[in-house]
Amino acid sequence: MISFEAVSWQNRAGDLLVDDISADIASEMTTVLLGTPRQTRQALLRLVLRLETPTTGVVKVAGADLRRVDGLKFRRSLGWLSGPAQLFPHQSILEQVATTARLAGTLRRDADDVAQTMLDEVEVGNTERRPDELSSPERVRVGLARSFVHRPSLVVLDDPFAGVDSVERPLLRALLSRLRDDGPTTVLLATGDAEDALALGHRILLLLDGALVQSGSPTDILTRPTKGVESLLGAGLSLRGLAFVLVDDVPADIKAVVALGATAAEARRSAKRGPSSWVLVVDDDRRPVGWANTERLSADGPVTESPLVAVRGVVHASDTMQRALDYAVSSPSQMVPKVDDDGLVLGLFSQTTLSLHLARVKA
Amino acid sequence: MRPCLAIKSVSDPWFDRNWLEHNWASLLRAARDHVLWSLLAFGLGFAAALFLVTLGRRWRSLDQPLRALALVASAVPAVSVVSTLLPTVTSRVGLIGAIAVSVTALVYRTTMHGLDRVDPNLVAEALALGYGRWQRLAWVEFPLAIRAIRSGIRCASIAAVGLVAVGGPTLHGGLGNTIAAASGAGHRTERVMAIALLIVLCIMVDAGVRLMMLRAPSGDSLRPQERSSRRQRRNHQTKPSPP
Repeated sequence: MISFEAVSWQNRAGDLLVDDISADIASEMTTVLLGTPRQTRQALLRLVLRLETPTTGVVKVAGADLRRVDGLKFRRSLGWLSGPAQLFPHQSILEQVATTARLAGTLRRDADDVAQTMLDEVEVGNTERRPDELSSPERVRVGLARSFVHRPSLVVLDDPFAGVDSVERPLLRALLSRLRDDGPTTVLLATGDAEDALALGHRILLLLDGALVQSGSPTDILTRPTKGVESLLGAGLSLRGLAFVLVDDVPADIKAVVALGATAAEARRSAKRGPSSWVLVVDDDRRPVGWANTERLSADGPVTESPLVAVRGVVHASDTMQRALDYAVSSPSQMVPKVDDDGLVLGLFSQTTLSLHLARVKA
Repeated sequence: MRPCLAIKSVSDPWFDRNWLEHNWASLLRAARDHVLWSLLAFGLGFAAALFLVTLGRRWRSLDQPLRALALVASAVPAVSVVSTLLPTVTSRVGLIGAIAVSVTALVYRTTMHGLDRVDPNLVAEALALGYGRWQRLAWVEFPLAIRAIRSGIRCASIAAVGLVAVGGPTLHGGLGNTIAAASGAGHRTERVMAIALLIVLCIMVDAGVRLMMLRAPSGDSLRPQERSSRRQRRNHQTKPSPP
């Protein structure tokens, strides 16, 4: 969709803000520009919007050199949002969205209806309000409605969730993903927030001091980060990388499981297949009943429900390994059961399993 | 200068009801002429100012010279300009042109000042959203600068009314001419009534401009709570009454 070919750009003061960047932005995916300084991210977006021309190199959109494209016409075909959402204070939110639709070619008589439909989709309520009557998340919703109202093939977003608290951000991320998938639309998003980048990006371009230092999927970036990018992504890369690994991808090969009513000796033998003295006790259908500590079982008696510790969480194939780790560290057994769609136990994960998996991925 | 409307009375009172009853129509005619010439001068000046504003925004290199000219034109007190011009500008057209120049200078300066104060981020946003040059000016910059533009229009409209009064003798009509004639003849009632009408006219012009600007689609003419109460009133009016 977009390609940067050895692009460099200097501002009027002579600062080299974009330093020889070559990258391709794939269609119908979200590509995130993550890094510092903010001016570099903005400069790249301005090059894509054809508000600036590269000092050297070429920016192409759908194969066309942007220098040979009518900038105004091109910008009207795009979606654009900068954060904190810059809405025009003198227009109602319906007018803001309808004007963008009209600029993109919607007939004047249809523009209000199109805008109202889009605003209903992003759930902002009363559309006669003006921006100073909106909360920050509502402003972002209106901004997103304005960006997507004409169903553009490319939407460019500059830190769209700036100024929005961490409670609202996941909802707005989900909204953006939904709007993108409805298109389908190619999204180019610039942000300094690693969480936004990891949650939204199919592909991340990591920028440092004007240069592209690494690109790849969130999993690639987190599990095999280039030296120096930790400062961009924050601490705990390995742990955060688990959010992109599905339980289905990791074998649940611990079999420290016994049936309810088994003898203490059988339970102790089973515990030897696991990392600790704990075993998972299951019923006749292999549904989890509780955890038993074999060190505390009576010498010969059967395993009953009375001394068992409740299972606080199980994971399914579609869950992430981050959730599995969360359950494992909060369980007395340091393990978590993996179950199938019917809730039947397939095996157990331990913290060691997860560490070994991460080590294998990095290798 | 036309002759005084009345023969100077022996007592020369400040208010002579009998005189007023006989000359009310002449006073109103003078007031009507005054309004027409003020409107003409203001209209010409305002149109010229709008034209120059669009030029100044389109070609920024023109802006500074235009501002300098406007500054000079408005730095010299307008009354002095017209008084100085009176000996040379002896026609109505010339004088109305001079007043229009004064209006142009006032409106140009305040409008450009208002446009300069528009948040550049919003202008950049409009540019990124695909607004063309004129769309940015008409849909974003003018509405956001409306407060400054409004104050410029109010000042200029009152200035036009005042300058038409100063140029009354040259215009051979209007309330200014009546005041000058009455002063020369020493007729107090006529002078007081013409001055009172001029003051009323200024107040009405100001109120009219204010009203028009409030009704115009503007950026910040209404605060949120005012809009809210207006909306509530409208909803209340359109809501069907229960059966």
